[in-house]
Amino acid sequence: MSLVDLDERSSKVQTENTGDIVKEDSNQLSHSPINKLPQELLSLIFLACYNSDMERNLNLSLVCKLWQNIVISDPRLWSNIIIRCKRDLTNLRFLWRQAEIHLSRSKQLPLDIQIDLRRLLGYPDYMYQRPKVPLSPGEYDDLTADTIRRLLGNNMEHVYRWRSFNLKCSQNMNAYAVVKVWKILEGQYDALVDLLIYIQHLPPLPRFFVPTFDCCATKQPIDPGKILINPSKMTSISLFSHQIAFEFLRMAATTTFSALSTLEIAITIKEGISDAPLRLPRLTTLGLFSSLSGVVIPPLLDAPHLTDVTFVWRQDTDEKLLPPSIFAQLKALDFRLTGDWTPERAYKIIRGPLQVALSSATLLETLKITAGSKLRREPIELVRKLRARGYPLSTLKELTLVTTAEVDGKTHEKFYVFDVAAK
Amino acid sequence: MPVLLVTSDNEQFRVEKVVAQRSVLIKNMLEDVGESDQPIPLPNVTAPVLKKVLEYCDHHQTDPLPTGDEPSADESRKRTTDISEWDQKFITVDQEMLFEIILAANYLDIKPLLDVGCKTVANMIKGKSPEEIRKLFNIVNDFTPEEEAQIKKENEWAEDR
Repeated sequence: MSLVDLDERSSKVQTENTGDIVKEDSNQLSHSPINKLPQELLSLIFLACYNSDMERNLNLSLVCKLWQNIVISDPRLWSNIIIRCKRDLTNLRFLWRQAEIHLSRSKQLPLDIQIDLRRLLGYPDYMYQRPKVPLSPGEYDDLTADTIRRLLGNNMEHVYRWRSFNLKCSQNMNAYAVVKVWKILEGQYDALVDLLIYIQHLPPLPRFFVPTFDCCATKQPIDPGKILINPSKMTSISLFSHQIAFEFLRMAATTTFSALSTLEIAITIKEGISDAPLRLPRLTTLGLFSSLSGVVIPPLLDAPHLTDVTFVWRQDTDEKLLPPSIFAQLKALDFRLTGDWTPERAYKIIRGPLQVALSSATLLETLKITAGSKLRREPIELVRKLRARGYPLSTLKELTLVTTAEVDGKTHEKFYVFDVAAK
Repeated sequence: MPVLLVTSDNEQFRVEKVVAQRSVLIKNMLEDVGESDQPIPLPNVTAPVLKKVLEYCDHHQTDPLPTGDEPSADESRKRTTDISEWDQKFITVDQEMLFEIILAANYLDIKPLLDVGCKTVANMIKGKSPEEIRKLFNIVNDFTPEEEAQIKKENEWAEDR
């Protein structure tokens, strides 16, 4: 069914419904106090029902004709597109249809889009399911890319009104499929403020295959091969893919992202990263994620408002890769170590970087460390030792140690706050 | 300086200006008439509802006033259905009163109260099936079985995830 058919059908349903509402209003009013509320207030209530738009809208529209009419006709109820894929790629027509209906009913409102394809099967698992007419590996990759393109709204026709875009791809995608995804993402994102891309780390692809970042230039023809963003609009960028993060750093070395407050990047190879300083005047939160060779960030970061730095390790890192300059103005520092570590191992991993941070952050006031399930007092001891070695840490007053434990599938955190002010 | 409010059922409420001005409607009316001890008629609010609304305004009299700007869609998206403990206790009323409070908050233009009311109803709806929602609010199912089946069929994309 085409989008046009859907729209025609939906307006027909609305027209028919309006007649019914008039007829049955008196009946409803006598029974139901909630339907005394005007439609705009019912709309506000529906908007406050925060779960996925899809489930909410279906449930609400099945209650009665009045509610169905409100749900169909209020674009705000359709502007948040959340697609979580649990199926193999050959059975995705429902998700395509979902995306089309959202795009149509959200009219011209800004769109917030989340697409999570992390559970898609890889080719070997697909074949293991013994499909009746098996696709070749190449065809399966094409289908991956085609699926994402269709989920994004028929060749990105609506990209100009994307406000936030969050794409998480399957761990099982091969390099060929990733290249196709990059091709799909090329476009001009005029309204985008929040971008998150998660694609597993692959061996570096030739640069030709990866789109570069560049500035939006309104009313210019779309520059092929580029992801065009507006550096004065973007407030949050999270790139959990070395290749695309690398391309972002390349752009950031020559552009001031004047509104950016959150930057999270996974960079795994330092080679090729420009030494030019990054100027991020509004940056408050910096997250550095690494799984291969340690934390790598540009040596100069001009971010006077940086208050929260998060380092996430999954294995030993080389503390020499941490440029002391990023700690210079920091007042609060948050170290988090993920994964299942023994307390001894956890402390061994964070000790080096922590030492670099503490000996460079002369204005630091609070320090928070999350590492493992048992409380270790070594960080307190480290503060004492550094002071004995001549690092005053005069502003440091509070050290919070956080322990984490999994209970019934949920992560529980316990906070232990210590007074570490210099006596 | 106290303000005199008159409800639709002709009851009078004398309240402090700072409390009454939580309502943008009343605030604007007071600004329009200037210094005056004339009563302010509120023809869309009954005494029991206004009493309840004023209880809210009194408790929140020192809160910062909303800026008047519509929250951005982004803020709405991130908004949770959390309600403070006092507000929760305050809004624990029967359904009839709850919807009257929402209507009054909308008429009197008290955005935070409207927000609390809408969130409360949203929390009642959340996680319930259409049938349970109908039962909860005494709503008549005006779909024919055929229409209901048709909607479900048209929305199979939503169920079949």
